Amino acid sequence: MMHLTGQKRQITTSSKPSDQPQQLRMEFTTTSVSERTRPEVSTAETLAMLADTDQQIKVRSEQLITMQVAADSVRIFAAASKATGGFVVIHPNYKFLPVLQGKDDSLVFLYQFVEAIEEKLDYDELKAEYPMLSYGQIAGGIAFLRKLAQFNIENKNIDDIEDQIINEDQGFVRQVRESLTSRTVERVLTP
Amino acid sequence: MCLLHRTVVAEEGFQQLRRSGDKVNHLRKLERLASEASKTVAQGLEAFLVPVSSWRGDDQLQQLREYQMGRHRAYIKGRYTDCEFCVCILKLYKKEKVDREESIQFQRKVLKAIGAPIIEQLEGKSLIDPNARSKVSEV
Repeated sequence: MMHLTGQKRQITTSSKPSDQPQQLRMEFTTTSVSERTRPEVSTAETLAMLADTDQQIKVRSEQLITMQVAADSVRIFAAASKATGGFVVIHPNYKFLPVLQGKDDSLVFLYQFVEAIEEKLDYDELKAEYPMLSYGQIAGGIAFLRKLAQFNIENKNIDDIEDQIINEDQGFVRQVRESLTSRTVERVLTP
Repeated sequence: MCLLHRTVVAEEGFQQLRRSGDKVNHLRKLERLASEASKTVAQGLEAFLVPVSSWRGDDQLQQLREYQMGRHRAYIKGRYTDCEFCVCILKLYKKEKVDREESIQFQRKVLKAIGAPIIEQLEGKSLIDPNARSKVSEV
């Protein structure tokens, strides 16, 4: 028979250097097994508790790996910013979402800046430069850069967040419903 | 090679873009992408259409998927298996009265949703914390 006692440890992952001041912490509960006997705990119960502990360690380990990957990603983004003049701000205040700061104290999300670049691009001109690429590959390359620019330490999907904000506008949602029954202008047979 | 239609409502959006001096033909971009999809190949436009998360469960709205057209959005019905797409409506950036995406209110909501502490610290017109200010932006 064994007796289980809980023990709490704290694991700290520091994302130094100084341009990444945030520290990632997680509480990690492990269970040590002492030799003391406790007659009221059966072998089956002990095995079940050990299995629980094993599962808990597994989950915590996965969390730790996820946090380590996030910290590494922040490091890569911060290094990229530093290597490109530091114009793109990677800061815990914005959960490391890359931003540009305007002189008039305005904030420009880097992913919106990439969207603006895409908006101004003529795919046909790019296609002339890269005839070996499809339109899908051209659009995909830009969409990839946009997604990268949506990085944030919480791994939140910025597109979902934007959709929710936009869809709070019931007037717009009503227009969308109406558009579903709107007649079509013409059929465009793509070449 | 799939077909692309557009509704009268979407056409108004495309015309509004042209009137505002937009030199890029967004409709042509969509046509080019649609042409790369076929009944058996989920490429081109099909690869970029994403369901709108907040419309899941709504029988009417979930027919539509979103295409990010620069900072604008196109809401499109149809799949590659039908080999037909229909642009139903556009949401034009800087054109809507409510929650314009460049506004500080919109940015505040995005930052709040990702749990950025800046929201708690700052009020008023700026979202830039002096401590987070980029040195190069002050030059």
